[in-house]
This record gives sequence, C-alpha cells and structure tokens, in this order.
Amino acid sequence: MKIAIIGSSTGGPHILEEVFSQFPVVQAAIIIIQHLPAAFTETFRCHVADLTPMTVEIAKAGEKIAEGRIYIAPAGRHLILEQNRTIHLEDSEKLHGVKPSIDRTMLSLQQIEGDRILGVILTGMGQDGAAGIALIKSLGGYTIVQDPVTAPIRSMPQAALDTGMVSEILTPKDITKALVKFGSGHLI
Amino acid sequence: MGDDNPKIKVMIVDDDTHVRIAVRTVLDDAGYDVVGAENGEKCLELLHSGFCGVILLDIMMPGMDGWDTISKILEEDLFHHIIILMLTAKNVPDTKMIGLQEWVQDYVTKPFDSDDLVERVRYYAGFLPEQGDKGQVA
Repeated sequence: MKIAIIGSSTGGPHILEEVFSQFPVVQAAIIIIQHLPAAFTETFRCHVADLTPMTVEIAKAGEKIAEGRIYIAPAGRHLILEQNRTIHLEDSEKLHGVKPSIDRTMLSLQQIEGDRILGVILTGMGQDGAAGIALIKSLGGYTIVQDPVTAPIRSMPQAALDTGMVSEILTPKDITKALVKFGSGHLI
Repeated sequence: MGDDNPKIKVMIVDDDTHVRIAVRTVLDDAGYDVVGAENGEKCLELLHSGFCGVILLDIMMPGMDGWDTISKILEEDLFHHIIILMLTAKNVPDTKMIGLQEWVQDYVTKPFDSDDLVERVRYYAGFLPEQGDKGQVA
C-alpha cells in the first residue's frame, strides 16, 4: 500500500488549497495532519473535498485506510496507524504543544513489506514532524518539505531539513506533482 | 452586498494607527466591514460585545501582545465564530506561539501585499458559519 502523511500547521489550510487544487484521484492513502481547532475540522474537510474527486473524510477510530482516499485527522486526538493500516485515535498528552501531532502519526509507521511511504512537511511553527520525517526516511520512504521560502512560517520545514533526512525541497505546486507521481508508483 | 448578504466582519488589532488605516482601506474596498482595535484589551472588549468574523492580530503591542491576547481569548472562552490570522512585522514568530499553533490559521508579514491580504481573508472567512453550507463552527 502507498501511504502519504502530510503534516501542516499555521498557514497550512491555504497552502493545502494550492496543493489539492484540481487534484486527481491517486492510488494512495493520503493522511493530512493539520493543526486546527475542533470547530474547523469539518469545514476544512469540505474545503479539501471541493478541490478533488478523491473521497475526503475525517479519520474514524478503527477504520482501515484505503488507497484513493484522503483522511483528515480530527482535532484533539493523535492519529496513530496500527500496522500501517488501522486508524487509532488517542486522547493522550499534547506533543510539541499540539494534538494531533504530526510526529505522533509518522512515528507510528512501521516497515511492512510492500508498503511505500511518503512524508511531507508544510508551513508551521516549531518542530512537529521533524522526528517523523527522519523515521520515514530511515524506513526507506520518501520525504519532502515545503520550500521554506514559500512557507508563511518556516520553522517546521526548517526543523525537518535540519535532520538531514529530506529527499526533496519543493514548492506547493511541485508537491502536487510529487503526490501524483507517488500515487502512480513513479516516485519510489 | 445587500441586506440579505451582510458584509463579513474583520477586526484589525494593531497599535499602529497607520496599519489600521491601511488595512481598513484595503478591506473596505474589497467589501468587508472592518473595525479597528488599538490593543488586545479592545479586541477582547469587541469580542465580549459579540464580534464574529476574521481577526487580524499584531504580535508586538504594548501591554498584552498578540499571544497574550489569544491566551486571554481562550481563557475567557471567546473563541466562537472567529478565525485568527497574525499580521505582524516579525518574520519569525517567537516561541510564545508554541501551544497556540492550532488557534492561528495564518501568518501574514508587514508590509503586506494588498491582493494577498484580501485573498487570505477571503479564504479563511470561508471557515466562518456565515458562509452558509461549509459546515458549522461551534
């Protein structure tokens, strides 16, 4: 299975609109961890769903992820993937001051034969996602950060870059292309 | 916009009068109903009076800064039907932002590009319940 985890914080909803504008159906399970107040989760899901024919849903506990779908992590819970397949929502302490934490999701990934994993870090404050990006790379996955020059807040992409475990630095439009290539099996 | 389609409200919170005037001019022209607040205390007062809409919030202000203002908004349970974008001269936010990330939807640096500001306000206003069918904001 192809699994893409996109981590995003302040400035992210507007950047994600650019990334998913006219986005085709791709054969990958795409999980978006966007730091947002709970009241905005459904509105954010609608905004993304308006951009693409892919099914966009709020991740539900116990659900098995599938390619061709986009999952939005609900606010106030960490999203953990059990065996890279089953969504578990955890109401534990905040990590890096946030819940859901990008790292909490990325660090739950495992090396499973046949799985291909892509990690993407977009704009935001702090270092959430940096440890997760390093893990994904160490598992043989592909890692992308938004070019900090294009990010309203550079520190999250910069923290990921500082790990030395980033495959590519891309603009939002080029992240779109990379996601499409990943879905078609041409990225890794 | 007519009475059936009331203007979306925007609050600019900045101690610099020139910034408040510049933002008001740009967003007035774009069809928004703009109100100014010269500090965090005035912002809270307007929220207590029922303000709903987009808040453009400066960080560096005398007294309560932007982060203190957000903390107070949360403490006083005033985060209802609002969306907060920072509008600041600080290229890099300070660490006081950690823990408040989820409450700040975007970060615009001054001097701002007028078209970019209007576009971001338009986009994030879509998260407000006044936008009709885009979902409910508690």
